Amino acid sequence: MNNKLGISNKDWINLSAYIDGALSEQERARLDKRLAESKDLQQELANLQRLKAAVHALPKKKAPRDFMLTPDMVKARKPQANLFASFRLASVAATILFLVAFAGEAILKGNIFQGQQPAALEMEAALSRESDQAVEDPQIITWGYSPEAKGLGGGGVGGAPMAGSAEPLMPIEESPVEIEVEIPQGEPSLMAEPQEEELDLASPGTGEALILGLRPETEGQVIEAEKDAPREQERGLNTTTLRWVQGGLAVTALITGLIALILHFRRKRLIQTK
Amino acid sequence: MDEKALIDMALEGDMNAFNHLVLAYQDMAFNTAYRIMSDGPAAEDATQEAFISMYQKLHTYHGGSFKAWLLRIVTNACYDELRRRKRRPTVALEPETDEGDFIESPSWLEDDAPKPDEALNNSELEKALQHCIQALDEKYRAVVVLVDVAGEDYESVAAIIHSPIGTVKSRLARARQKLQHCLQGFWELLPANFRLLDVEGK
Repeated sequence: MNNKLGISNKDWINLSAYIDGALSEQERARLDKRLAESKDLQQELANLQRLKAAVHALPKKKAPRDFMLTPDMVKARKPQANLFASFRLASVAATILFLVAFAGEAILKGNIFQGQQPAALEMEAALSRESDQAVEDPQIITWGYSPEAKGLGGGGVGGAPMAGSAEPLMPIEESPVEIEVEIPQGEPSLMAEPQEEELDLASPGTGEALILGLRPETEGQVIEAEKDAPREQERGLNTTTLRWVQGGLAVTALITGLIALILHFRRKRLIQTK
Repeated sequence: MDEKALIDMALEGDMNAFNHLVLAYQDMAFNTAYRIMSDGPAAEDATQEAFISMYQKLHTYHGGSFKAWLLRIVTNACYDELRRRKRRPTVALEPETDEGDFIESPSWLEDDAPKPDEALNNSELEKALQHCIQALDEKYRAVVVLVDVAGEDYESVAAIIHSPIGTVKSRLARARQKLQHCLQGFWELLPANFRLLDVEGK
């Protein structure tokens, strides 16, 4: 940038350094040459020298009192200042960790909730459809035998022998109720169930038909819901630990913050009484 | 006793030796603080803080100019004090008498910068200079005070303000440019030996 005299910022910097003797030999020689040619530069140099002399000539202020230290002044200050800084830092750190733990939990919970919601809704919808169907048209589910196979093994009317078995595996009272599933052709909603792999309703009487969503071969096995129990317990344990951590951080933040505040006010009072 | 011996004794915990150093440098430290802060009580606080800090950090001094090392501490103490005063201004903005009446024009609200036509003598010129120095940004003010008031060279100032020499050069040039502009109209107050510094008289 040039001013009205055509002196650039670089010229100003060089002139300023020139009066302090802070230019190299080469820079000084170059500036001397330019000074010999330019009256404007000479005038600015004179102005700068006048300013430097005036500032340097400002009266030297004498200390209004002695600033000598006493052992008490130094002792009283140092540890307290360090303590205050330490507690303040601890309080801030604990608060940040607490917020991180809290926010982390909220985010994780949000993910779990979002992940579970569609499945739960789907299940609810399926149950609703099933109950509607049951009211209109009672369902009959067959498991492992076709009506033609009735009587094989002497099961009688109420007994539903397992496919291929000659004897009923359960007493009549405990054996599953014979329900025949009739798939209404006009209701694509049931056909459109996305869980085709699990709900294989297409082949009743083949021995692979489902009863209440379970395959016959899964009888006697532990169902998935029961397998989730330890996971639930673990999750509960993790939540408890998290609560303890959050509580601990909150208490730490409060206590250290309080101590820092007390130290701060004590220090302030000390400074005011000095 | 020489400076190095005093420093060594102070490092061993001799408070008397340390206070000898304080007495040797307190005028220089206070003058620098005053020129940076333009306020006596604030400069006093900053100087006291600087000497306490100097005692606590004496073990970090590893030779070189002790004055430059101390000036660094004084400059930092001034910055701290300026920040502290900005955060917590100590003067009420609505002045009242002891009876609670509002004062319309308290003396401390008057602009103490002298007007060119009112300035009469060197003390007024000093006020004008101090006013213009005070009007500079902190970074420019510190450089001009350290070079032109405390008489430090560029290298020392660069170490004091933790900046390269190039930055010192440019800040100083800028500060002087601003001071020139601010002081227009006050130059006739200078004594003759300053005033005659024109092109012919250089």
